[in-house]
Amino acid sequence: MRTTWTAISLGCAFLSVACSTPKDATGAGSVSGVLTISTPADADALIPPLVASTQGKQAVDLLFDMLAQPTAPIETVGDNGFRPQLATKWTWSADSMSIAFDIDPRARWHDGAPVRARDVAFSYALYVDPAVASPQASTFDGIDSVTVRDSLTAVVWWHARHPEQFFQVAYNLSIMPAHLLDTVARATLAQSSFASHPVGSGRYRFEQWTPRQALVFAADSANYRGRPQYARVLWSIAADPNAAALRVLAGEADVLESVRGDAYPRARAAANLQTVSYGSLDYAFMAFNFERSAGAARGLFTDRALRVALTQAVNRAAVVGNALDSLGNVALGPFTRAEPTVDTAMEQIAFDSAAAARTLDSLGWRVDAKSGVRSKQGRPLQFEVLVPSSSATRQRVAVLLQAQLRALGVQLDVAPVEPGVFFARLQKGDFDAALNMWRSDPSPRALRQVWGSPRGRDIGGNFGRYRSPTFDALLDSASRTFNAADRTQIFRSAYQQIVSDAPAIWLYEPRNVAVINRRVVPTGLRADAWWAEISSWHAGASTSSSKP
Amino acid sequence: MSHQRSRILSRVVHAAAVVTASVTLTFFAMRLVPGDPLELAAERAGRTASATDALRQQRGLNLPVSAQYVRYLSGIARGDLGTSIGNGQRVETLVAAAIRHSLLLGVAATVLATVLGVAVGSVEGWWATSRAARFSGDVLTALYAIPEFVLALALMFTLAYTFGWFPVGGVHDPILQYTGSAGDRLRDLLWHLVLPAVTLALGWGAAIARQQRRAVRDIVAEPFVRTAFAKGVPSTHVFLRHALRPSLPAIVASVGLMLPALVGGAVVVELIYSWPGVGSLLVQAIAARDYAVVNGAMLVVGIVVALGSLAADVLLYWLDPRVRAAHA
Repeated sequence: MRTTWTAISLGCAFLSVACSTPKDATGAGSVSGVLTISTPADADALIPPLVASTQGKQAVDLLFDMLAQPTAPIETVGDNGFRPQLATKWTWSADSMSIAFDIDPRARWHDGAPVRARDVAFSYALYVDPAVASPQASTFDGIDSVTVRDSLTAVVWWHARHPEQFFQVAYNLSIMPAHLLDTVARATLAQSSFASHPVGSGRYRFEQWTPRQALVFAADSANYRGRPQYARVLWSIAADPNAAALRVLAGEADVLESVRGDAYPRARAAANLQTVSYGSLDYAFMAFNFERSAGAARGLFTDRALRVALTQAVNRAAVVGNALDSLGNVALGPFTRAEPTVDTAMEQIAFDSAAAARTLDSLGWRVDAKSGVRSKQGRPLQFEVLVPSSSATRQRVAVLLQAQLRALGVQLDVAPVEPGVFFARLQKGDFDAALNMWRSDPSPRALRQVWGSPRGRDIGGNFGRYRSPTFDALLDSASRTFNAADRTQIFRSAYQQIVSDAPAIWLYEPRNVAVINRRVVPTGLRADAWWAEISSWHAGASTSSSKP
Repeated sequence: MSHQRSRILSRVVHAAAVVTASVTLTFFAMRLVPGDPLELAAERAGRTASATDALRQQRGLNLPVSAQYVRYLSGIARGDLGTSIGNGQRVETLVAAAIRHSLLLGVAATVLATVLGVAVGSVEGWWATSRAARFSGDVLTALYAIPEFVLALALMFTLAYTFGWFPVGGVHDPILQYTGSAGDRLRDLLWHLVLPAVTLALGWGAAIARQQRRAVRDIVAEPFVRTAFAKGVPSTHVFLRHALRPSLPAIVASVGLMLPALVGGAVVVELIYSWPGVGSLLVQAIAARDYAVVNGAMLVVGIVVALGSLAADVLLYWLDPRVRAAHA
């Protein structure tokens, strides 16, 4: 009896203590000076060469400086689109084969040691060292070396000139402390003490990382670029995007980088929240497998006329409106509206079901009266589309595509598969079509790596194994053109080429809408890095901090 | 060696064999699942094929599976569970943190479920004709029938999001780590623990209540209970002094297995409430084909299950003299 009553009493005490937590001692923003970002995933690493995730990139960009910082919109040709950061100025050599960067003498690492040119050379060496196996190593292809002219001057050398030399090094090379890392074995960098307690020169310093829970940075009050406004930036890690959104809606976090689904109308209706649109570099598409050699779709997609007809059969505006409502635009191609080289008025394969039907008829695909599915010499016009089961949006889009194509007599079977299986089958080419999504790079040169003809085992994002010497040649030519206007024109020709070739049905470009507490005044949300100017964000005039 | 000690030793050896078998099965099963962990990571990162090959060699993933298994077992013997493919952190660090959270949630849920289940089941079984007792039993049964994720979402949406009585997820408010006292942090932790623990406790509590009700009803029919009533002992006294204890062994086995089940099996609740336990760690590691983390987590879960089962046996042995007599 005594035991039972004791247990009941303990339970009540637990509940009463738990429920008595004062509300104002918790929750983001209720303590001034802390900016809380709700994120659906943890950082994968805090050492720049090891970072592969967006969350990791967000973290290292606050901790570590670059030689120069891009302004918005990003200009990848030349150096006009950059302002000094770690480097106070830079000097091109007469032949443009090298750039000398003068390091700010005031710059200090968070442990107080001065930043030197040696750190720049060391950082480059770390990125390209095969023992580190950095996923970003290939971004520095074409750079010959980085040398030290004197303690405050680092010189970057190239094998050959190209228009994006400055962008290549200033945008991608995070500068790390040689004096703390040069004795660490490269192969075990991820397990070093630096990996869990990094030291940078950025306006925020590392404070704490509780994996799967929170990542905390504190303002570097003595920073050479000035103290940032917020005393702390805190990433509150949720289990998934819905949980991350709920934290902001419930007032437990200040920032959600991109809202989806029914969280969007809730955010718009909330008096204490603001929605901020910014550019997107993401696009979704249904890729056709050109090299499918087995199954119902073997050799099907090598016929351009068929691919064009399938594209014409899809009312993409309706699909996007249905699946994403106002949170998406119809994709233009393997590029987005945020990229300056893109012409939004470019010619597209328009929705025209009548033309699609005529084309399929002319190709010999006749509608079977009984089944309603087109066939040719006994072979039905049927194929399967792989969809990752983790994406509710893409599953919805797949069903919409199925209905639209069925109306034309095309049998599309939707196969949701676990993401690991999805990517494994894409890599092996074991699919007919696949609903994929890709994030493009600010540099249009990257399109060559993603959609260029496969080079051996490196297929980039070109899982459908699309090959077009014309497209490759246009991209190569554009990448070597220094004149901005000519370069843009050639890139646009390349874009038009791939859109006309229809290696995929370009479906949608999600709109990025951040949800931010009205207490926060955000600045400089770039399409490629909404977090780029966080150190300049500040708290606005006092507004309601309670939930609506 | 006494009979008791040899019995315990035999149980320990048996548990070790079960854990070894579970780890071996997991090891090979993960290699059968489609998807290469480095290809998955490379796809996201844009790493070239040759760089991926170099990394595969560095991690020993180019070796035959049998060689990888031997390497893994020798690592366990040295206390080295490897590093995560995802973030490079030591597996033991990741799993230790996860197990702490799972144990905290599991213990809280087990205690709540046991108290709730024993209380409601006992009352229902003893005062079977009482309307209030039947009603409480029906409510618990209804809760038992509701899928766990529905219950979790309902509680979160109403009590956390709409009314703001509890946080929507997480383990604690990270800001309080800097601004709060130790007492504040403890209260904050408990505040975050309430909803996930209650979600789990409601379902398990209903199951325990059903078992307890049956056990108590069986005892009501026993001669010693009738004798106690015949002697004029008050009903409540008969229940608490004579009926409650004999009814408990029936649920000890369930409770003994509940904690281990919660440690690795509360995935849905962990994901919904962003509680960083072993279940969600396993799910995320399996999705990423993070072999080392999956193996490490399964090893720990296996050990916890084995220990939980052993503890249940010991408790039963202590609680029920008939069991002691049978093994004497």
